[in-house]
Amino acid sequence: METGRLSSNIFPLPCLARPRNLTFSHFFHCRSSKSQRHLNNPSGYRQPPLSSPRLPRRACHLRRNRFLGSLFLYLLRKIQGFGSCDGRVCFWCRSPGKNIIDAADEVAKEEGSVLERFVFSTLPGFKEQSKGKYTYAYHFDSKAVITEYLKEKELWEKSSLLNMGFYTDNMIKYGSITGAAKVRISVFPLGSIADE
Amino acid sequence: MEGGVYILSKPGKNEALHPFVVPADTGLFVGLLVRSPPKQNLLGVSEMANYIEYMKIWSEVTGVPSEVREISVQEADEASPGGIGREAAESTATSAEFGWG
Repeated sequence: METGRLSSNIFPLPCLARPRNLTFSHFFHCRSSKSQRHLNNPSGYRQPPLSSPRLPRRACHLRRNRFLGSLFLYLLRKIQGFGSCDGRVCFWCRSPGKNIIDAADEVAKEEGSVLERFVFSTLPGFKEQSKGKYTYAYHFDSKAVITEYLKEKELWEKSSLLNMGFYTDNMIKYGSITGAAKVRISVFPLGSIADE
Repeated sequence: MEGGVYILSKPGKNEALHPFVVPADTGLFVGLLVRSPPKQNLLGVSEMANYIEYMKIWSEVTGVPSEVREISVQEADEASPGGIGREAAESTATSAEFGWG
């Protein structure tokens, strides 16, 4: 997602720089174009939007569509903001999985396709499995969402699912995240304390 | 480390069985699925074990004594803040209490 480009497109209307004049009438009651404004208002003073001359019908639609487009992008960015991959919510992390499914589905659809079996590494949705008690197992829940997406595809006819249990090397790879700690017991005259 | 001890703190009962899988076994499971009819849903397990057995093997291999402690999800969250600790803890807790379906 190109956040930079999106944000520069959000409300590309010049009135954003003048919040005093930012009213809905700016968008739905079309204002004059720059050249028209010059012709109708040679003094150069900006007129209130409601009293400004209307544009032809077609230009009015363009202006309104531009507003709705901006609104859509704005909402999209808001949603994206909520779903940032900070370990808590991983909304957009599902899209790489769906892209894999889409790519494989294209191959499966080809005439005389060489694809015989698509094996997808998945996990059960633990939110459902725990009947809503645990909702933070996003690693599991995201995989379950992607699997549902796979089942809607033609590709599913050639697919199988593999759930891998807990990797035995998780403790080496992730250490303290899995709750592992190596404790050194130092003996002091007053007794033993645990550190590190 | 001399005089050290490994402590594994995790939610769920110590006796709860979990499906452990050795990453190198992946090919075996995929091979099985490739030779089977489609639409299978396989749980790949190298060995079902509880964390006491798991840490016993760990100690045998490393020569360092170990201990398994039961903690709450909240304690795990506080130990590794930011959500990742809670995610790992809830995964283990779900496995211990509800199984894999």
